[in-house]
Amino acid sequence: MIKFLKDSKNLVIILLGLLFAIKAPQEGFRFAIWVISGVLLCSILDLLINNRFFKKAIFPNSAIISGFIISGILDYRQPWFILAIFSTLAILSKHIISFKHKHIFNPANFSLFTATLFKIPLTWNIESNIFLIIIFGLYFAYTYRKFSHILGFLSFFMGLFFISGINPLRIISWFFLFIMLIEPKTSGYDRLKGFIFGSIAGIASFLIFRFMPRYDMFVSSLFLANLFNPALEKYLYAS
Amino acid sequence: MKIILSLILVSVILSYSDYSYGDGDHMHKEVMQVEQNAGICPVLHEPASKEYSYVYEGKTYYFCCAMCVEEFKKDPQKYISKIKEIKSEAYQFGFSPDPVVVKKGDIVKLVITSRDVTHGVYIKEYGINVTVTKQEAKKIEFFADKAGKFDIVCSVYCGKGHSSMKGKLIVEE
Repeated sequence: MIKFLKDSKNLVIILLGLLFAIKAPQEGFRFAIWVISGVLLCSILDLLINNRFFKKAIFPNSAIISGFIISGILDYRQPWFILAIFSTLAILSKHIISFKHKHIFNPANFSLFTATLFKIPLTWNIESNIFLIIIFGLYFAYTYRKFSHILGFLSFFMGLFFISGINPLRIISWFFLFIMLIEPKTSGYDRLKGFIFGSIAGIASFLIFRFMPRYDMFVSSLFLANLFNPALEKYLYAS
Repeated sequence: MKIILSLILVSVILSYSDYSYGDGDHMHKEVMQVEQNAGICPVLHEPASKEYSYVYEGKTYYFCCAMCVEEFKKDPQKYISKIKEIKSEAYQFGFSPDPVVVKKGDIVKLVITSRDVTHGVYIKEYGINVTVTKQEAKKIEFFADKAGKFDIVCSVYCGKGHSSMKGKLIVEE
């Protein structure tokens, strides 16, 4: 049990499970089945791909997280094929779009970004209890050493929204900040890169909210930050 | 190989992203057209054109064809009584009035404003998905042809209560 809890990915799964359990009674049966289906679909697909193409048998905890995030953020009133398409897209993007053997995009975010391009509403139902998110999130940031990412994001996000006359604390998504932005594999390591990564996401969030509000500001900004990440890796290492 | 596959995947997504996903029916495109154009013809409930208009009691009504203008002139009240104009406000985290109650067969003109930040107004069953910023008033027009209770949800992230920002549209028989 202690070994299980020592893996931060399992803690993320526990947090997502708790957030889901809090929201499910409010939203009803369809939401519950929607999320469970998303999680199952992502996990099974990831297991199959790993087994068939990479000859590996890995417990799909990353895919479970992706499944929770996709189905918990996508509007559950959509037809079932929408969930199937975007869950599949997330897992495929993880295995296909890579740079130096690491995937470039946060898989769940890549899929949600595609959904926002198609004007599919993102209702963020999984963000059901911000206190849990912040408490667990601070622990994740500490374990993954991602405080610089958070600092970079908050500096620009808070500053720009404040200047434009909107209280940033009323518009920020803590779920995005503590669960999605600091995803370990696609957000880069070390302090400087982390700060720049977070800053790109913070600035992009503000600009998208201000000028292109029909696109979800958070998933779009993380997509852009992910896109810049290989360049950050290349040039900051080179320098 | 992976780079080629990645490029194909991204370009396919981007090339199809202009397609406006609605409810799988025609209504979404209609609503988007109506937003920019002349509304819905009160006679045939088709998208109206600015080519065909008629001023009645100081108000201009637009139609889809010349025949509808003539039909309207015969008994304007019959058609005007079916037009419901409702001013609606989106705010963190709800809609006012809530619920919005109309009758089946009404032409609903929703004039939506935002009290605070940018919000989205999404009614899946009627294929409506619009964004409304603080400074603007968005006009949505649709023909209430389906009876029932429908969720109105916010489709633009607007803060920690975004997921619970809901309203109801009730279309009575």
